[in-house]
Amino acid sequence: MDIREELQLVARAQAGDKEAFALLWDALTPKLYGYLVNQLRHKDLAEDICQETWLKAAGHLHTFKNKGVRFSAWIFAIARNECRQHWRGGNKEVMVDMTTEDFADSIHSTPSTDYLLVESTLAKLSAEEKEIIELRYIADLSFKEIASILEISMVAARVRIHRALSHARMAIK
Amino acid sequence: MLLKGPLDKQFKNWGKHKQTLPTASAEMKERILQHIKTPVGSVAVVKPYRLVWGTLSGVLAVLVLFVGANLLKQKNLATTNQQNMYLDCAGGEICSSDFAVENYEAGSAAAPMAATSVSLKADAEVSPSAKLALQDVGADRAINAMGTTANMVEGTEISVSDTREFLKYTYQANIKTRKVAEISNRLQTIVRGYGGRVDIISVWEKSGYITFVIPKASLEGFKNETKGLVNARFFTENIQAQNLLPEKISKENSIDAAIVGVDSYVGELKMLTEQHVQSIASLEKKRNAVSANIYKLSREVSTSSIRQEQIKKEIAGLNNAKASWQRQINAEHEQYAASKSYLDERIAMAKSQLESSKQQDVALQEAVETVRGSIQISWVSRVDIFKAYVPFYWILVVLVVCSVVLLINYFSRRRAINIESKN
Repeated sequence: MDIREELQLVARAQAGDKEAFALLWDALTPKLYGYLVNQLRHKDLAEDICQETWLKAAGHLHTFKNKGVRFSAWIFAIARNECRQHWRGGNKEVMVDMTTEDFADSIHSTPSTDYLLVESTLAKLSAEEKEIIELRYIADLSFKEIASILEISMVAARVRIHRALSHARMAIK
Repeated sequence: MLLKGPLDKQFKNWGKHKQTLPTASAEMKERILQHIKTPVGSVAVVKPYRLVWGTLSGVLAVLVLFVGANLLKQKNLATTNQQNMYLDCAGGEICSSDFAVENYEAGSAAAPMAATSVSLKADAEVSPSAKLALQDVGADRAINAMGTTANMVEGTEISVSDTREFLKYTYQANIKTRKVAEISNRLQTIVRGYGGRVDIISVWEKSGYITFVIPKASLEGFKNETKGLVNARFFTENIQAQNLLPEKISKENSIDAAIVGVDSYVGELKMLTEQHVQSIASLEKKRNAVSANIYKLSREVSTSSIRQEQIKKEIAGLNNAKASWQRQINAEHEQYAASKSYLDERIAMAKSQLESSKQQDVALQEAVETVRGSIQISWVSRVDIFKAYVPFYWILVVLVVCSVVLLINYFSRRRAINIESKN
């Protein structure tokens, strides 16, 4: 979905068009849920936070203003804040290491060798590097959107992603 | 173990694998959709900022492009209108004929000489009339000089070492104003104020035309004062200058040729007079000798009738000889008078030609010191005035139209569909 289509759906949703909002849900939820699962390492928790994120988005939809950032970036920013609030609430210990088979419960087939290798590589990266890679490759956000979510400059976002990939490359070797 | 392919691609594939829906996705979706409310009142519409910025960027690009083109066009026009063009008069034909026509129209004594000069230049050889006029042994040098003059004027370049300039200026201006009559009157005053002369005045309600001549020394002051009559946007001027050096050289050569002619004829007359004096002296000497013999014989007294008869016959013969010598003397006088008359006439003509050449030279100098000018005055409408101050006004119109379209689009999107709350 390109930005124009997204903005049109948002505009219709803001006007009360539920069908438009449903389309937004269909387009963004796989990315959002996948990101949350990877962040929280807990499927049920990820579902809860995903629901909370969408509820907040629906409740504050009228406050969204397109100022160069997509609706998807806004959603992910809400989700990220929800995760922080959850962790601030001292719930980190709820996290359980999920197995590779749990991650394989996706719309795709059995994870490939590359997939497993990436997973193991990411485990060697820092939390910040993992998050930025998840935002880039799971949420499929642009550098500008990642920068707005993380509240950094676009150049800094590029640099961080580049460094994360460099570390991943070194970890693979 | 290495990843297959570039790392970025692998992570993308990994990311796609990670995208998944929750287990109870449908129920979650329904619950969330129930929270979608139709807000009461107007809703802030998401503006297609990309479209707005794209349109504004396009409009700005058009503005810069056409402003730049207009500025460049105005700059080129200004350079062309105010450029002083120096026409090379080395070929000489055009400016020669113009100058000859001016002199002929002035009604000066140089008119026939000017015509002669033009014919010389056209034919590149001495005309029959000129040849006849200079037809004498001593006038060869003058003919050669005239031939040289023709060669120099037609087709031959002036020597680069001759850097003299005899620039004849021509001034032309266009004025746009809403006060045609007033500006026309002021221009006439300006011309006369700078010591000039107005030749042609034509003034109508919405146009005027003035031709004039002013001294060359007053040109700068005249230009500045004329420019100050109206705003620079409504004033254009064109100044041309022609170097009349070939004409000047032609006149100088004509003067030299005329001087040579006069000197030649005067020399001939002197020689003729000397020869005549010698001839007369010789003839008179012979006649006087005969007269002396006659006297001597007539004084002889003889009683002899035979001798007296001889004396009579000798005196008769001597009288015949004396009469013959007298006739020769008379003939010599007549011939001298005729030749002298002819040479006097030729001298007079040569002096007249010299005087004419000098007058033509003076006329050339005066022509150089005189600027001929013309000014066209046109009435300008208010719309043309606006266009002159805002040359790219149509771009403003385009901007206004674009702005109106954008505003209409914006406000139409902002118009809220009031849906009453079902609850």
